[in-house]
Amino acid sequence: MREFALRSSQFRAEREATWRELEALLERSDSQGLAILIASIAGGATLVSRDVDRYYDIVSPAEAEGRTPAATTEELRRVLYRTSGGEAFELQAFAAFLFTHNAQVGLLCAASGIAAGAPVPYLIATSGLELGAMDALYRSRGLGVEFWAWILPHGITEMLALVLCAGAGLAIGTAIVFPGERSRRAAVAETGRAASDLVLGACAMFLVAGLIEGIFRQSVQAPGIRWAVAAATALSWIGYFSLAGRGHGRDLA
Amino acid sequence: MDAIWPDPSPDDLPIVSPDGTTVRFRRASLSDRLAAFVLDLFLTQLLTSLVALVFFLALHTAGRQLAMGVFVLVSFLLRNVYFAFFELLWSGQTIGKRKLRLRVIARDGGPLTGRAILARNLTREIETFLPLVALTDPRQILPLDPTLGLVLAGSWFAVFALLPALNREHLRCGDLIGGTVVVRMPTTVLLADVAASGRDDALVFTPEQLDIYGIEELHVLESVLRRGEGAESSPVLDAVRDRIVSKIGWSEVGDVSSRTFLQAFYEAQRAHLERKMLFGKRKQRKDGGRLTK
Repeated sequence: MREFALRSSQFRAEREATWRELEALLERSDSQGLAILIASIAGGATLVSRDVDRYYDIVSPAEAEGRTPAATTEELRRVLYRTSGGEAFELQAFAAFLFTHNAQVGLLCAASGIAAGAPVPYLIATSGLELGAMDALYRSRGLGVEFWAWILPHGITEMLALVLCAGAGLAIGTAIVFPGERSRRAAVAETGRAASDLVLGACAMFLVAGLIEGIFRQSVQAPGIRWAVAAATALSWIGYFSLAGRGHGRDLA
Repeated sequence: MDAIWPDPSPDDLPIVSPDGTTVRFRRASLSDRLAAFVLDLFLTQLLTSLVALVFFLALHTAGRQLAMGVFVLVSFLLRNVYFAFFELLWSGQTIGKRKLRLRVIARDGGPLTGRAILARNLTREIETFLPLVALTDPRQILPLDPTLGLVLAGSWFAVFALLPALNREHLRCGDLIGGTVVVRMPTTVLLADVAASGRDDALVFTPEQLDIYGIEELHVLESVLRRGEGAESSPVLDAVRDRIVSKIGWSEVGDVSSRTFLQAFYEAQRAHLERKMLFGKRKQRKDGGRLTK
């Protein structure tokens, strides 16, 4: 019986430790990831609004899918109100494609931690720059509000998940470069295990984002409802990240 | 030191568990790990191609979209989840590792946690899949300069693929992040049962004769019989037989060999002791034997 008691208390202590570790990871690394993302979106938007031709340097033709400064306003608008996932996809398959594609990028971000986290800012910044560049393009045609109504319902969830993965990668990278008082190997292993929790949660978020993007966004056209959903996802994630895990660690303090 | 592996070897990997016990594991060789990985890779690719085949067969039917969604999901899962799934299911083994008798364990000697498994499989993408894609098609990473892309992908691949060869415990990146190490599992070999080799029914012992010895003497007799390597008689076997004959007062020493006699006595003695154990009577050693308690 004693062994069982020991185990359960150990399990609780471990769970407390997990929450505290995650909190520390979120505070340290994810704010860096978020900062890089926001800075690169703003940077992309500024660059392209100064000089439209930079758009071609930032957004590759494959990503642009015809959304270039050469396209007419009508063509740009049509992309925002497409009812299928382009020519090849219908909604469910589109959602599956989006989920796997984004989760793959997220996993890549987290795994790059092993290269001292160096590729992480690059991976986030390329996405951020593209988004900023498109924002500048759409705003120049007076479609700014509609563009963000198209991005944000899934974008908030997706970007948060990306930031979580980036945070995981940056945390691993930090542990490699600055292991602190632990041995480098112990520091990396400890951080890596905690980071895998972040990645798992981020994958669930990518799934949610994929469903919103693939199904909801393609079937609901009214910008008002799109804004409402965006606000709802933002509120629920803010609520989750500030409230979840409360109470853990209180009995230990 | 535990006797998982009886003989010391340069591949030995002592792992100290949280309670301080040292267990000598044996690190998995590079070739075994490569073989296991190739086998797993082959299986996942085979499954992916099968699903792709179904998708192409359904290309012109109404189920096209469903097949496409399934294909996208399944190939994602096979690429990213296959290893973690099996390592979670079989505590540290995939199909390939099972075939090659390898297992993932936690380097700190503790239990292999799910988090460690997830962490160690996080890096497979950048360690192998991505560089392999880049090597076969460098345009995918640097569309403008495929040659530079090839060089970059090659050096990246070299660093991460060669990492296991560059450290003593053959750790790859994922093992570093997860705090794990891959070891070889020993083959369990059970010795043949000494009592199963057949006895001479002509030799019958009385209960009084069998009441003399206990479990310890039975063990000694067993090791003597095992060590004799099938010889019908030897100085050791003869000496042991003579001791037993005089101790139990065996009168009819016929022309049976020492081994036949000892074999028959071993089986009768063991059956006798086991029968007594059924009634809760345990005889540890002969009366007046060693006085150690």
